[in-house]
Amino acid sequence: MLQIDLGSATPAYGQIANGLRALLVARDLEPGEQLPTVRQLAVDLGVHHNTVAEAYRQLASEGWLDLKRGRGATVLERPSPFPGPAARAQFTRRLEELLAKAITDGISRGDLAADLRRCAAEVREGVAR
Amino acid sequence: MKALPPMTSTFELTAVTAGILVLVAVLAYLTPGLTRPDLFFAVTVPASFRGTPEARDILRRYRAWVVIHSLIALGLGAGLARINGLAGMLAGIGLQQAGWFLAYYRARRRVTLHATPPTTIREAELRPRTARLPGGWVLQIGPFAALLAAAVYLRSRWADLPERFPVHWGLDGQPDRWATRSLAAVDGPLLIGAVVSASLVVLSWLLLRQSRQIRPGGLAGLAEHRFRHAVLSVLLACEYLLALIFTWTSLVPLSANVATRQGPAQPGEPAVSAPLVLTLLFVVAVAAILIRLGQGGTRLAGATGGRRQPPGAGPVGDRSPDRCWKAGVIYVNPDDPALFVEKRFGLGYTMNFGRPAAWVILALFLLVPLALSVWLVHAGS
Repeated sequence: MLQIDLGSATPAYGQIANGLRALLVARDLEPGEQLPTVRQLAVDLGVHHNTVAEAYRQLASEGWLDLKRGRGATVLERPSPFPGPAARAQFTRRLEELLAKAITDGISRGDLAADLRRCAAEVREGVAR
Repeated sequence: MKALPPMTSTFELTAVTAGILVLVAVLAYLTPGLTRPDLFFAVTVPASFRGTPEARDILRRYRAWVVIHSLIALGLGAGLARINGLAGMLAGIGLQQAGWFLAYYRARRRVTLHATPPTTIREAELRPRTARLPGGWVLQIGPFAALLAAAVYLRSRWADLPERFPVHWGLDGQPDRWATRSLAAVDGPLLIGAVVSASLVVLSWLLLRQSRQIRPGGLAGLAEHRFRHAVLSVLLACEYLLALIFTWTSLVPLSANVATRQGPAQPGEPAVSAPLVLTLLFVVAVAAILIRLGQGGTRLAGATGGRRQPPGAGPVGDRSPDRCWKAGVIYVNPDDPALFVEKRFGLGYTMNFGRPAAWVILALFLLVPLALSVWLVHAGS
């Protein structure tokens, strides 16, 4: 199931790409699976089909999807790329920004720590798989 | 156009009018209770609003108006039918529709004061939807096969068809339009039947591909899927009913006395009441099925855990903005790619008139059968 919020400040195509990427990383979408066509997903989410097409293109450029005209999108077996130092630094910076925003919004540090532990467990589980 | 044989009795017309008025009254009375819990008179409200004294009062007044107007329409229709059957029918139905809309409009205006912003959350299943019509292409072909069979049968009985036969009758039972035996006059009803059935197949396919699921996943999603399947099955049944009626109409000239009779229809002769009554029964059956399901399958046991959606549970609304609903019944949203959306007040789907495709479809559905009918009248006369 993919969920987006049209009231969010994040553009819809970004939310679609992020949501699909999370499902791909968690292997909820397996290699070989077909995704809905651009038009079908656009109808279901109530967004313009260019929005969905942009999200699909972004994931295809990252190596997650194979886009064939008229056949929709197929999930690919994606080899893990070599992580450059910039990618790791960017992740750390974004995580720290996210944590700062969450604390600013009043989320307790205990809750944040619990969420981070859960995420860490899922990451380890994903790596083990 | 080849029309149906005469209405032989004012009593029959009055009975049909009364049947239509009673059916519409029942539907109008029940409709507010059949819609999604968080849509009341086509306005997005918290699901808990229906239980408030204000909502109960709005509903009570609406229903009282529906009953009063329906009774007046019934009296007027029956009274006028003694003088002119068709005028009675039209006046009764017209008055009831006006009264219903007025009752709805007043109720809606009060509910608007309690409106809540619809959710901005959108969800989608990621499994590609199966684009299969009920019964597959085998059942979809059935009506066309029946019409084709009738055409072949008429060809085999060509010599038995009268040279000239009536194709339209006035309410007094007298033929008022005739056609000579020709391909257009004989096969005309079958051609119209085929065009209308083909239109319904296209409509079903578009409904399958171009409508959004409001609650994907879970029991509510399954119920919604069943509702969509039921609507598509109704469209299929409609194709068969139309094929039956048009086939029957095309065979009327074979009736022994239909070509020579000058007076009212004789006993045993096919009468217009047969297809009318059949259609009325069909509408009653369809209404019963859809009422049992509720809009979007919301009345199915288990759809929301065996009860209606509890207050505060799940997103509010049908994932369409209130401002895009004109009078709560016409949806106009150019930013929504869905061509079909669930009706907010009623059962089934309506088109998104913010998309040019909706206007093209509407024009084709109205103009093609009309143009065909006009051509056949001229070709057959």
